[in-house]
Amino acid sequence: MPVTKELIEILACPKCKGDVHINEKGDGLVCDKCKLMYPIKDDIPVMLIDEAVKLN
Amino acid sequence: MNIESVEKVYSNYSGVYDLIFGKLFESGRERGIELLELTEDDNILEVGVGTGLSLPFYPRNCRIMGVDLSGKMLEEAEKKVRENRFNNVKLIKMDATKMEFEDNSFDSIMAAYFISTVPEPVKVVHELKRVCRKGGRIVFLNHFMSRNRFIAGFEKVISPLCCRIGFRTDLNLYELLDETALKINTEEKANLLNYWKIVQCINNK
Repeated sequence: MPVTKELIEILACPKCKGDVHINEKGDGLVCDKCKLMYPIKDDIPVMLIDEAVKLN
Repeated sequence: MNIESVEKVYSNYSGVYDLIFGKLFESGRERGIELLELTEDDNILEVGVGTGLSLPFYPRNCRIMGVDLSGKMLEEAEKKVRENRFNNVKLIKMDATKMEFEDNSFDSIMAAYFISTVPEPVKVVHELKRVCRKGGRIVFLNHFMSRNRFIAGFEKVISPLCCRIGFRTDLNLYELLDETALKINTEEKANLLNYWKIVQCINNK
């Protein structure tokens, strides 16, 4: 199942519990506040701080 | 047993897990889902969804959210979702001790062969209570430490061994539920040799 709007609505950033949004490429969920990207691997969002990518 | 080692064990398992555990635990999964007492449009959470062996047993008119800590196991589950077009299933890699869901997000929760694999079961049960609505069903399908003192002693001895293959045998269900103030509604035996138990709780919050 691709990551849908509905799914993004119920997900929060594991760090700050704020909203996340999908990035342009569609391969990650971004928390603007924490500047972290949670990767989407094989349509599965990985909502773990340890596996998040830091954004500049 | 820490969370990294649990993830590693199950990631190594992912390719063969269905072969080993598929048929053996199937009847328990089916009965466990019956005990969720689902109605149309229910939102269900399955913690420790693994390779998705329970997914075929859920009614298609319910929404299922499956979480697991092992990415490899989830990849297997995702394959099942695609092959069977389970459009009502969503999968997320998440830590069950701190889930990214709001309070009362789900009508019922399934924990099949899961609670004995986590390093912090008390934390997990508190999280399950938080994300499940009041009055919702929480079903545990698991092997729990025997009430028989002789067998319980034996299980304690073999527990470190079982840790190495990814689960423990000395989890005491009654202590766990006592500690988390979750009450048992029904309890029955499941699977081969009746070694496993299905426990249905009603979330009292």
